[in-house]
Amino acid sequence: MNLTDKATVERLVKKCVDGDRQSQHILYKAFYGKMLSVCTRYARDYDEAKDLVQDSFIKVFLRLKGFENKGSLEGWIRRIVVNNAIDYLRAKREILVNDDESDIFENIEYEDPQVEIDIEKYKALKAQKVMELIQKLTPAYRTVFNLYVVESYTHQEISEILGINIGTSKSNLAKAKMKLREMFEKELLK
Amino acid sequence: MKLEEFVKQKVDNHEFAYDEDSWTQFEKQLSNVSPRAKSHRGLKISASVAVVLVVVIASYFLINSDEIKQTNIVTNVKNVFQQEGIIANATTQQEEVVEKSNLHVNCLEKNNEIVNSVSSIKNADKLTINDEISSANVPIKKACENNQPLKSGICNNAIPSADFTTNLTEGCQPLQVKFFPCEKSDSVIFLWNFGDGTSSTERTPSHIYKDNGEFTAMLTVKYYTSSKLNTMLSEKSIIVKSTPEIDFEYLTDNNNTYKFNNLSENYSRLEWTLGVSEISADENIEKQFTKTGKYPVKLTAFNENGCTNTKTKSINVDIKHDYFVPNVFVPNGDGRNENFGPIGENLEQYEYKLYIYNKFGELIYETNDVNKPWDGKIQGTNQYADFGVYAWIIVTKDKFDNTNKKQGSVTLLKN
Repeated sequence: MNLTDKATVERLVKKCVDGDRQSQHILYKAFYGKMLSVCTRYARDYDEAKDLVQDSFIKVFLRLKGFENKGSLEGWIRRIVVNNAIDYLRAKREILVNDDESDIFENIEYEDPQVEIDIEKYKALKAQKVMELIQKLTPAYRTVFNLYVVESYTHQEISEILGINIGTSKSNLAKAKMKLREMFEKELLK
Repeated sequence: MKLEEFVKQKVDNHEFAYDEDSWTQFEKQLSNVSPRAKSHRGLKISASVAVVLVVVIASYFLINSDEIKQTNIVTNVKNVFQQEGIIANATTQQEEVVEKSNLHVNCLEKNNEIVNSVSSIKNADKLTINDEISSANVPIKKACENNQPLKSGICNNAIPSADFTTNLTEGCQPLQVKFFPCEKSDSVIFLWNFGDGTSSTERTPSHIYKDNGEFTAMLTVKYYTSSKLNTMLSEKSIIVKSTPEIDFEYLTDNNNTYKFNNLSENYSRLEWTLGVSEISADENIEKQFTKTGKYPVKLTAFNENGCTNTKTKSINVDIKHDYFVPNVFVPNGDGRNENFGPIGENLEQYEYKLYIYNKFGELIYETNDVNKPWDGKIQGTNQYADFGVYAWIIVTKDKFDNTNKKQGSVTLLKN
């Protein structure tokens, strides 16, 4: 099934909304792997990610009626999945404030370090490995990094979403980047 | 290429393999939340049964695992907190202490560990079946099932992590150790017991162990809003090795010879350092100083533990030239007290200068020769100075370049 074709998507969505189990299965199957990958970046482990993805899909099907087929279906689903993951993280908010230091950064402009990498060298890093290493970041670093880099939120938005201040968001991003680079370099030496 | 772009690219292309089991599981949940499903009536019923089973089994495991984790009830923790006056109202609530089996864990590994209250999401999504699917405080609801959830979102029986790390586990006394909790939450009360009778409620305290011995540090934590306490004893206790006690005294005679006596205890080896280069391993040492100045004398004591202690004392050596200066002379030709000059045995060894000034501050006599005392005449004339008081300055310099300067007055008498 070609899910880039608007008409196909339209039909599939309609059937899903009508409760056609087979269509729901098709949709689920089409996005499960991708969305599990998204959840993995927010969850603390694979099991938690699997729980998150199931929970998210329930929401997807509940809200599918509201899908307007303007943007891509994947993007729409992804939003729900990410929001669900954030909701979940927010519920256990304590882990999002990473350390005592964060207060220090409240009022200073944190320079976003431009971390340049040698792409030829980094080609050796598999996506799976990159995922694993992101997973190793602390929840606070990981969450900000995911939201900023992968989901392209601004620091302002992140601070509102996570209920942290902008300075913390910036410093967490900077530290996450440094940490990641460090881990990548270490990995490449192996 | 920027790191972010690289990561985004990699991550965007990442996808897990589809597995059919997930769907099977998901479908069961779905049949409950989407009532419009036209068919599968039988499936729906069987799914409901399955779901109930899952919930029952899940809650069984949840309760069970709680029991396993929270078996050891240490009641005196309550007392500890009360003594500290931290929690007054904690008495009515149940207090349980989680004895962690994996003591002394690295915080990094534990970082992803979430307090058990929220870690039960595994069962949480099954709960959503009967619930209008709301936002994701579902896991908390589950954890708080038997307890009133509090406004903060931390339920009443939530337990924060009491794991901690230290920067050191061993060292010489006095040993300063920094403590770091693994718990990242802001809303936690910490009570550190350092095991030597002292405690702290700081988040990351730094403690100095003054005595040697083996100490077991303990951390007790709770959320501000919850009632459960969580205690952790450090598995690797903190070993404070004894350090030599160090001290020495010194005595000196008039000859600028100093005796240094070691007063240290609990040592196996000593090392004296005098100035920059002189080193001795003797128990007591003796040293004659020949030059005026400040000399640091350092004593280092070593013991079998590899602990050392040092003490430095500064010795002020002042080399004094010893001679006598009379305060009166009578140049009258009777052969007694005819001249004025210093009298002493060692004067010959020194470079020497004598200056005599009258009351107007005019230099009237000057000599470099210790054997040429002032005869009372104004230098360069044959005329005796007047009766009265004259000021003198004597400067001596020995072979070690020590210079002494003395001044005083002398009365010239005539009769």
